[in-house]
Amino acid sequence: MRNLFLFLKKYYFILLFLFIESLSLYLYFSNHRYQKSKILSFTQEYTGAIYNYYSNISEYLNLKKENKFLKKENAKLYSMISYEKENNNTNHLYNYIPARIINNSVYKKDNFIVINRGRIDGVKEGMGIMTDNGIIGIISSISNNYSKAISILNSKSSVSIKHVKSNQNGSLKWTNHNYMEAEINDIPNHANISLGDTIQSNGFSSIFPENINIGTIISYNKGNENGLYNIKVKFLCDMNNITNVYIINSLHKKEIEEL
Amino acid sequence: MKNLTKYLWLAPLFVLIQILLLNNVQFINYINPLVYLLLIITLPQDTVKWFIILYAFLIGILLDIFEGNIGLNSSSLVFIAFISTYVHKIMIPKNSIDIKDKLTLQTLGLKTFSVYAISIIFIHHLFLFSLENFSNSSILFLLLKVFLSTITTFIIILIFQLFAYKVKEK
Repeated sequence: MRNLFLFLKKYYFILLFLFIESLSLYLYFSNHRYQKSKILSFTQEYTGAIYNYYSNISEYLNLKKENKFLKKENAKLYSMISYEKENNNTNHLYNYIPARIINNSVYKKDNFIVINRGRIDGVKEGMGIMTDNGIIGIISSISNNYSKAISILNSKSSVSIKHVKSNQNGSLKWTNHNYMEAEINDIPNHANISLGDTIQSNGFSSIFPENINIGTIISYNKGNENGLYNIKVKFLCDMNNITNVYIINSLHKKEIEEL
Repeated sequence: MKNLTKYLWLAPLFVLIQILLLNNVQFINYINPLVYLLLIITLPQDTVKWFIILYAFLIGILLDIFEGNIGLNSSSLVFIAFISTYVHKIMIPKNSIDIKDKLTLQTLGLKTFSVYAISIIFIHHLFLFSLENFSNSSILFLLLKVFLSTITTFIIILIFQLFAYKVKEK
């Protein structure tokens, strides 16, 4: 027993280091995201409040530009409403909750977004986030007033898309370090593709509505072995420079999933 | 011990500086200055060893909570805290300073401080960025990022030190 104490006394520094280091590495590499999301949702209310306070200040810098952008969007939406009224199309598939991004990163390998809407505003896990010209992410954890989303710039996120001209479906993944570009690797060789073609969302996942513009093709080449294209897509929206977004509440999602 | 309490309340301050300012001003993909390392670098040589480890873990976990990636910063900071006790022995000449002194630009002099600080910053950045880009990244990108970030972090830390120096002189 005495020897044990002597041993501990002599080597406690290395043992303490090994213990804490392996704990952190375990938390980082663990595939069970349960512990992680537990810790994060517990602290989110506080970190969210700090980010919110800070973004309230920095928001003033972009006020004029944001205003212009929102006016433009408003005009577009008015014209859509009048079109729908003419056609008596009242079957709504999606509800939109306006929100503001209060923290965003684009340079990491796994990027996350914090927005200022939470459980109280009716946000639920798994809802999508979009702007007028692009998909931003999917909500991963919520607290009362804030929620966190997995950005589209995350090694784990993938969005189902379609190539508008040929109507081919595929999935968009973010793989490299450039926050303006993403890749599509599952459109077959026989499809007719050219530079500058538009990529839009298809409604398959029932998270995002159909026909949201996502990006344009900037380069492609035919993969030799698998008969699939390697396509590079440039995003339409600058992920580093967005503040106002919409959370999408898909009203028929549950029904579709139950099929 | 009085010194250590000061370090304790400096930790949240540096974390806030990091997440609110420095994480937003990275202008190129390659440069990501991490100034909170200053706290680990300047800890006096006679600091209780368990304090160094737990202190590094505290800073790391605070950063992780804000950045939403539990374990990344804490593991690299705990690692550098462990390594730093050995780097002290190699880099800092014996009897050149009092072991109770903080390891600053003022006490060590520019030459020793630069060598010591750069080696700690470099090891930390190498560990952190290779952990972050574990699977999908080219080695060239990784090394370039580590190299450029090390320089930027060191310059910002020097500026912080010069400010502290001036305030003390007054």
